[in-house]
Amino acid sequence: MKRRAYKLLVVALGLALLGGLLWLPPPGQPGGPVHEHVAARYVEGGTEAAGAPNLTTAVLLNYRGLDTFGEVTVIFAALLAALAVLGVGAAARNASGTGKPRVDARLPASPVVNFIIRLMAPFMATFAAFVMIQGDVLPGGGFQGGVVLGAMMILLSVAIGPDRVSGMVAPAPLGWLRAIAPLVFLVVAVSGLALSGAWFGLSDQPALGHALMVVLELAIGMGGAAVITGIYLSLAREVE
Amino acid sequence: MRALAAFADWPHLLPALFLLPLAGAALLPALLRTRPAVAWASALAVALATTMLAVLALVRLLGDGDYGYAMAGWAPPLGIELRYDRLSAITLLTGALVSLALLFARREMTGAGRRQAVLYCSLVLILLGGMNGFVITADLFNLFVFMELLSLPAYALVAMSPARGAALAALKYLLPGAVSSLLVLFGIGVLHALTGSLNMADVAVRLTPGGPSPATVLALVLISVGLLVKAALFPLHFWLPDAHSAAPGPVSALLSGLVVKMGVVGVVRMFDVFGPALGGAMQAFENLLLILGVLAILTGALAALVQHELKRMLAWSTVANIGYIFVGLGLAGSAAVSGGIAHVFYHGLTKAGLFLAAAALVERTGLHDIDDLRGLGHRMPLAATALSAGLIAVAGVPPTAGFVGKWQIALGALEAGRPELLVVVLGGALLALAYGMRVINALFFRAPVSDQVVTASEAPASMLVPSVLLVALALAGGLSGARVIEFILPFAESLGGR
Amino acid sequence: MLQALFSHIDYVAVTVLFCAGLYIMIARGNLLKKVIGLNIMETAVFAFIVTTGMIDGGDPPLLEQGLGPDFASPLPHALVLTGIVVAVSVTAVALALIVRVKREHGTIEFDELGEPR
Repeated sequence: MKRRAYKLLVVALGLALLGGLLWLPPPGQPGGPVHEHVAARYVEGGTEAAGAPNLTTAVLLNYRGLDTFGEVTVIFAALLAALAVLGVGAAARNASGTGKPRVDARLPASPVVNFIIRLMAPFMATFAAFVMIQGDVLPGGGFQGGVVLGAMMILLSVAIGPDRVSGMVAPAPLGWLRAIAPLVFLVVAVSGLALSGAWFGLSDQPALGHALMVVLELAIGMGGAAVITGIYLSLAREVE
Repeated sequence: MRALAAFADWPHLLPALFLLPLAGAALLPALLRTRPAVAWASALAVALATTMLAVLALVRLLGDGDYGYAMAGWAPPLGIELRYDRLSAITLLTGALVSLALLFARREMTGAGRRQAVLYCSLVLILLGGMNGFVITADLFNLFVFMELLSLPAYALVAMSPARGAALAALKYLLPGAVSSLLVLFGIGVLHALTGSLNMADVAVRLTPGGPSPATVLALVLISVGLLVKAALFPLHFWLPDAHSAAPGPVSALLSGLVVKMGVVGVVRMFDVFGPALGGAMQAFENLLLILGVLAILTGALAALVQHELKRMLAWSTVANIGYIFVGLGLAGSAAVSGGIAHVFYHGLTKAGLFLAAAALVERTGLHDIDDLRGLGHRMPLAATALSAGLIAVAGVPPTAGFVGKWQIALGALEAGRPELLVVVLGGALLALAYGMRVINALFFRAPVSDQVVTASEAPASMLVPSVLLVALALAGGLSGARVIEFILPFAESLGGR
Repeated sequence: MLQALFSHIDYVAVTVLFCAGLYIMIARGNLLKKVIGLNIMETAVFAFIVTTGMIDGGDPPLLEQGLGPDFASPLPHALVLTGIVVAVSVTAVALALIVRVKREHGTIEFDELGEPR
């Protein structure tokens, strides 16, 4: 009975949504406000104004850099949040004495899976680096590459165990690695004050601006990979 | 004052308001992972410095009026624009609460809380950065990003209590919160499809020629429902009592005092975005806010009256006070709107002080129920007095802080020709006095029934200073009321193009 | 009316997806399934935003590749990339909370947790 009510509610909401959405310009047609206003000016500005031929990357790092800075801080916050949420429970659990012996959370993976993962890892890492560095010319970018790298680390932890993967980087540099995206972004933001007269500004000189973009892409990628791996490992080591 | 003005005129001041706390947050876990005490002190320093910046920003506004900043040097609508106006000023100053909450939490930085101390401080700083950015951005999508930046730490901080129900309460906060953020994003997507822009002022201009089309109305509905969940306006308040009562004390203070008000600020910004285009339809929207506000006042106050748990009672009081704010916004006259916005500030102070005082009592004794806390007033006189004074202030007895907003809203009701609302305003205040009296009675005029009360000792200075300070400000708050209203009035008058 | 439905078929699909996710969120009592429902809703919104920027037969917004003249708008792409990161962040925190709820209460079914829906 309840399910029926929910279904009706959802259908009603869907119809209301459609009622509004149908009044939007039809998707796929050129000439609407989405294409004629700000987007057209990005295209007209060309590579010189944007700093990169890939306009999406230009929007992310140049025109709307603040949004991207917010984004990397959000995912960094998610890592802190996951660690904090899981850690409180662990401390309380240990205090109350129900500390069960830690079970190895590695899934029992077959030798075939292990072998394939180990074989593919270097290729994945290379692809991740390629996506990160070429992100300003071809589709791709910092975070996308970082996610590929993070996925590689997660697969590795399936093959060789989360403890060995966490052991790959010592705790002290790990803190810096995880924060590298917001920190490098902040450095670039400050340098923007000197180089182009505004926070987050990329330099007016195209070469310098391009170099800054690559630096940002790499930092976002490495930071993103570290954060995603960190979140996965914190969850993996908590699930009994 | 000269020197101050010189600093205030630094053209690149605005982004520092959020960049400073976020920088602190990123550095803390990297630099001070193993030194929680230093981390806490640094976080406090960063929060105080950010408040200093907020004061400087205000100084410039007093001299030159509203001002803005184009991020990365790109003028809107190509780039992201920041805009600092009187509403930003009020909310940024309320952000000083963060420093006080951090100070209060000092005890948690030692003992069992040590391992989490750095994470806690970092999350609080991200919360501060997110809120500051939220109130000064003039770009819709940037608003969304900052909204997420402030919400995420809030979800996690609720769960940082070792109490058993905390994680579940946090989830019950997260799920509606995530849906509401998504609705805001959906609405922003619709606005972008309609106008091709993301800058608030630009969108407002480009929406107008079309008039109130169903798509525009859809965008308003999506964004407002999303923001009203964040603001916990009846009937979208269902998540608040659990979340604000299960959270650790200083976190509850921040949530009720500041975070929930972000939803209010968002709705006010939407008046400017949709007002010109929707014209008459906006009045229907304002009426709806008014009705929901009235229902919120009644529901919140009545529910608070029947609560057994102290913090839960305070949480329901927040629901009621949010109702007052929206009654003010819904009445739409400049007196009423200025009253609502003033209440954002004054209620923030008062409720934060209340939650800190309550946390002092609860955390020292381990008891949550009002009845269990009987007689505690004699063992913990300072904290209990602070709580009692805060309850008087939140009810709105003149000249306390709670009075300012409610008085202005009452004036606004008369101005708008709705004298019946005075009954609601007064009724809510009387109910608040009633539940306040109930607590004061239990604390001071009843014999103790629990062992923990009999053996309790006064709260430490780190807990007392922030709560007493806030409550003292709340008690005397009404004295500054006229000036604060005067400050907000120009903003209230220009809202929504009326 | 039918004509409008066909020309906006992408938006109809988005709405169906959104409603499906919403239904899962409110009707399923398992916390993990609620999170999955949330993710489906988020995907629907991202699909909507990207669709608004597309042009039939157009090219991705890459200059210097000999593409165009019809470029998809880069703005929705950037919005969605940021949105996806935000969604992942929220999901991460939700999962951490679910792990803790399981640990503290022993169950992740809403009904067994003793809370009314």
